[in-house]
Amino acid sequence: MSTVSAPAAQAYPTRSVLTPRLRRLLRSRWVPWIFILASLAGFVLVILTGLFGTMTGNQNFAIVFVWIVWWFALIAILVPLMSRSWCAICPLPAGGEWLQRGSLVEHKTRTWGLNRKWPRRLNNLWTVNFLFLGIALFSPIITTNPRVTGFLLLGLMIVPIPLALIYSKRAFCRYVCPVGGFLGLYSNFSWLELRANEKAVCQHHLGKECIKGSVEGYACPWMEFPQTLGRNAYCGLCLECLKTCPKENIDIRLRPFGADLLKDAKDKDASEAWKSLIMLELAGVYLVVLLGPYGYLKDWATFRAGLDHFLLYTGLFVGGALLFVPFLFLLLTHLSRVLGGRPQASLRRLFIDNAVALVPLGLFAWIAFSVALLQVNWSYIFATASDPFGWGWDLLGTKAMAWQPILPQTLPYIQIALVLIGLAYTVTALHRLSLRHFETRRAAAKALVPMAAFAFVATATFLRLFVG
Amino acid sequence: MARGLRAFVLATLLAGTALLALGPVLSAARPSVTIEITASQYEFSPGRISVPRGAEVTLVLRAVDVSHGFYLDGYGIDVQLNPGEEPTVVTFTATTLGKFAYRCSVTCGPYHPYMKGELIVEGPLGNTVLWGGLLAAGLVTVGAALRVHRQEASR
Repeated sequence: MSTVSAPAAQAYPTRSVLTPRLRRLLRSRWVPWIFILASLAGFVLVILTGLFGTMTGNQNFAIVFVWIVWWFALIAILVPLMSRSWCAICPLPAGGEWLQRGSLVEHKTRTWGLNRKWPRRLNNLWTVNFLFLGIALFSPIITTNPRVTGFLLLGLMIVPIPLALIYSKRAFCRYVCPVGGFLGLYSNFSWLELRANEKAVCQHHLGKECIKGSVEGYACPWMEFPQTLGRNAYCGLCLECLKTCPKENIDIRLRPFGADLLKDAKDKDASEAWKSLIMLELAGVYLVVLLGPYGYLKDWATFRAGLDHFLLYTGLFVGGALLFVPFLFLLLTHLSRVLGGRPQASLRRLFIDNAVALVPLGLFAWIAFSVALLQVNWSYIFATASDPFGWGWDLLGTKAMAWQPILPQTLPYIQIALVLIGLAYTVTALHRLSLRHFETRRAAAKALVPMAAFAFVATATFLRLFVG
Repeated sequence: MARGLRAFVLATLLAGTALLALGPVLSAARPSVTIEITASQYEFSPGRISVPRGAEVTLVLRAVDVSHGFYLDGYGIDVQLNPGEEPTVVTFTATTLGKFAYRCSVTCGPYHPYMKGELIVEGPLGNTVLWGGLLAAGLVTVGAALRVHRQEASR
């Protein structure tokens, strides 16, 4: 591991993880292609087991792998520690991208398809938000029914193909993928970043291979400009810029958690703020509906209580995520600017910044939710790995492994600790933002009160769900 | 986390320990509690039960539709319940404060993994663990804000 001094504009210390050998390895076109191939094989197995395996969810590899293993790995390990590294090896857009490029591995100059630009009015996360909410609404069914999980993943592999043939680059990943939305948002908290080392080097280099492409690789598929890349939100770590940069000015480095939460960016807009609030609300909803003791809510959410109750659930679910929580947060943001003595400050800007500062709290609440799934259901992983389709195979000799949670009585305490860590980071970010937006420390402290109160009440709600 | 936050975490732990320590001091009697719980797809009824710490708890368990299981976190209780059979009776002493999930341990249908209930073991101050958690959240909120305030003041 080599240390680099932080660039002048950088407000936090960083440490490069790129040794010369690792840089050479990552410049190979086989990276991350070989990992995409591996994840593709895994997802093909998931789709096959989902579509043709047993309908008993906890005995089907698709359900156990996707909603316990993959979900936990994404939210609790990959995103906090390695940013959008999943996007780098994700098999969902692979088919479309290979068709678009007319190549599996090697770089080709000519691309296929219409190569159109993504519509400007959809240049945000609203499509992602609505798709994600639509899928999340049916999550009690999706996470327990192997066929639905299989068809969902199959759909998510098929949809990118026409999009890749109509629009240029990775339009699906950036503007449509319901998974990518929250991965990007929560990657702002991540420990890892890919950035240009010295902005001056980029400014004086006219080749701009990172956005034009070269024989070494493609122009940034995520439509980012590495020279000005400031946040993790829309960097898929595909490493194309690392391959194309002739100045070796692209670096991958470690940094303090949450470093992106305070940054301004053109693409940090209302749809991203809504995403943050949606994710926070959904963590609470899932803890109540899926992991709570209320059978009637499960009946509402799964049509078992009839269409009328499902519609009521839909209204509460969608209304809470899109209207109630954001409206409450907007009111508190307004109160914040009044208390801070700047009632004329942009409510929109404050709302967006403060909502994105909720990322650590939301992320750790989701980790707490995911830990519960893993700690209780881990034994299914070994059973279904041995008999993926539930057809009576015993490939690994672990099919008969009995269901046995790991120290489940410790779960509430683990969850308390996790959500308190998220709270600490969120209040820290809210206060730093407040200091930026308001003129004096005293005004900033006053302005912080409603925002910190929101974070505290959200945390108290989670605590009530964990131990109350 | 910096020193300020560490101090708050330490204060929280001390406060939590004090709350937990009050339990055995203040609870003298050992009441007996009997609760009937029925299991059906996909809920236990009642879904939440509260007992005082130290109580001798007797659960009378019955399945009313298909076979279910009853697994109580932290107490080593795991029994199978079959419809039409005599109720299963389990007895234990609620020794530890906090919330303990009871879960279905026999695959009973598609939503089996989400079939769950909650046992709350309360101290003389009620749900001490929740109060401790809320106190900790308050301390973390104030501590994180003060830490930033001090950092800015020292610049």
